[in-house]
Amino acid sequence: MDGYDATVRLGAINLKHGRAADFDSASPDVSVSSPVTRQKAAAAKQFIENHYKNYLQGLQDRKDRRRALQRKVQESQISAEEQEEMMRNLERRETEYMRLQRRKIGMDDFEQLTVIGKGAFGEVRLCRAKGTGEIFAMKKLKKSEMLSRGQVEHVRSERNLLAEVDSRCIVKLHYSFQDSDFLYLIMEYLPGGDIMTLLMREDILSEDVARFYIAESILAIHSIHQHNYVHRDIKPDNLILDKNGHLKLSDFGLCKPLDDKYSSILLENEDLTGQESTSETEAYSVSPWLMPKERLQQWKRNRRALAYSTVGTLDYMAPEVLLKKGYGIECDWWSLGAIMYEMLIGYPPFCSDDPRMACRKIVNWKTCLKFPDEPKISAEAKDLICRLLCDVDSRLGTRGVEEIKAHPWFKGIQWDMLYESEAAYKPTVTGDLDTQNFEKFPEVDGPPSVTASVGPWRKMLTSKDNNFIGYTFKKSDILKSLESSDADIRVNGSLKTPSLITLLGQIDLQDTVIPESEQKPEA
Amino acid sequence: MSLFGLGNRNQKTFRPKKSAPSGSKGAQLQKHIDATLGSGNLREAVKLPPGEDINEWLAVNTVDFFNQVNILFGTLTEFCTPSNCPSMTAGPKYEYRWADGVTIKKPIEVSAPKYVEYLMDWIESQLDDETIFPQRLGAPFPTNFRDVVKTIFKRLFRVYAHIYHSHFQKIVSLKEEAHLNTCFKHFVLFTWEFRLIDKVELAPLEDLVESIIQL
Repeated sequence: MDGYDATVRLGAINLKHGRAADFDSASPDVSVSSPVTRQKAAAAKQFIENHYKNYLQGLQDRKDRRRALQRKVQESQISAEEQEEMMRNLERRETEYMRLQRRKIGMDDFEQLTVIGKGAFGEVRLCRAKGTGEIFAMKKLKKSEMLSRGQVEHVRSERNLLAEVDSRCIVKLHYSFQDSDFLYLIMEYLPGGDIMTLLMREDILSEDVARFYIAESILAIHSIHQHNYVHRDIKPDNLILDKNGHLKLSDFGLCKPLDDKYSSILLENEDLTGQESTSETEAYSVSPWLMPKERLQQWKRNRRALAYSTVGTLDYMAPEVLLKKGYGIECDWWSLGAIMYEMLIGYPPFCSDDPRMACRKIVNWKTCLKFPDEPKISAEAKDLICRLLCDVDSRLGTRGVEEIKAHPWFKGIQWDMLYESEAAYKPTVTGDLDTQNFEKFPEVDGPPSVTASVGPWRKMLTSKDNNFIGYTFKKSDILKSLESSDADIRVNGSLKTPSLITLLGQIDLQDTVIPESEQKPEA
Repeated sequence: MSLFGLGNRNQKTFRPKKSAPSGSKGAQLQKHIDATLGSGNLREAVKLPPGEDINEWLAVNTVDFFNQVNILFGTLTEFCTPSNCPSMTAGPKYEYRWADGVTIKKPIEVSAPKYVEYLMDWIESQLDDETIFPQRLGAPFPTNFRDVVKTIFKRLFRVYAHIYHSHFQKIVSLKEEAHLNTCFKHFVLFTWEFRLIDKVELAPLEDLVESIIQL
């Protein structure tokens, strides 16, 4: 029977008669393991593989740093005493870095600040690392919601991708950990807001601005494809800007390695390819720009709320994803085409108040993809959009990212220099704690009625929550501390580490709001 | 004649069982034992990095090995039960009894899962004790740090020994043998590099250990 898996009870072993199981003489395995055990084994294997990959890479990086410094001091004209001092300085930092590696990270290490995102599964808020004062974005996900909505694999895939991919195009994950109620991702804070915010503010972008961000999006998408991940849900609210206006890809909740089994989404039971009647065909042909102006404005106002709902927005999803056919990395290029259309036209090509209608339009893109007379866009831009919003077989990118880069619309783009060049749009950011480019959220009144508990640390790692085994992750940026080569790390300023007692105790989840006057303007 | 107060500590918790024949290694399992992740040169990886503090290197690796044993054993809880493993054995000749010298001073016979639970809780308390494993930058290690590490490694080895002797077929059926072997190989090479476990303690997996060290 499909899905049914019985565990055969093992007979008791009578050790007193010397019949203990021995791997030298074990009989062939006749028992089967439970789904829980197989899940634990899969998580354990991944944990170990990740560990050795990072461990050996870390040792190699350390050798490289030492060798680079040796080469540097030999080439310079400094005294032997100064050379010795520089080597000892590096060694001290490496030792400090190694100690940081085995610190346990938990909620006690962070001061929670402004909420910058809120949704069905949790929230994102600004936080400050106690001791160092560094600002991060803390993404906090409710375990119960993850489990009840079948989101466990999505959470795992996001954490795995962020831990694995180290790229300037991807939002950086610094730590991940959990307690009994929540999963936490401590990520780089990108104060520039997201492309959705930019579009809501600007309505449409010039082709120069759009070209810049589509180009950076291509590099970002390609960087995850190179690691055999498909995003599947690229949309404007997943494209986030740093303080200089450069774009980073984020929110990998649906992201998964290419070989993962496909999971169902909305519209699982709906037949999207039924026989089309004449009236239905006419309905499909109604384009967004023919919507009454008021309805379009209402749609724009509602889009942020929709993005945070459990349904989310499907407007940018490729037809092969919606139809649950096999799909590959090409589905992400479709999404990029839909975003490009919106940047230049002002709304997605298949948008609708009704998510089902949006899906129908996407699946029937041949009929429904139209361009309004206004605003006018170049022939090259229109051509590129049409080559991205099309069948997989003829879609640009299917045979490699280079064929997208080669499109005439990108003439003049210096692909290798994009992230070093000045961004096409400079967000307004005032100070490290500035959140003006994010939507305002009301603070929760008073502490939560139930506080999360942190069990024995190792049980968080294994048995307590089978679904979230191996969630903990830590990535310290030793290069950052090495950049200031003459600066001493302040011992007094080091983070207070959580003791077992702290971990076993209650976590104070009360919100901490910094008064407006305490925020210091950027120097 | 009572042995109270006489003899070394090992004799209280580690006692060879008598009148039990030792088996020879099965050829069928050899290929599983040989499987590893191909994870680079572990022999080089265990060496103390140039300029590194020995205690810091021991500490960070102790935490890693603890996590690995913890997560590997966690996959066997369905099989390693008090009824299946009423005592902490490593094959027919070796049995371990638990004592931490503080809460339980006299060694007691407990089931294997209970032993591992006591052991992992004890190790975690050591790792969390900042007077032993300091986490603040600049805080020194205690003078007896190496002894604590050696005790941790000796006891972690017992979990490996129990897994290999009692649950290796389950490891194979879960397709974890390459992961188990890699972790154990790394563990053995590290203990050998820094002489963290006495040879007599390695006896339950003598052949496997020898093959790792000599290759």
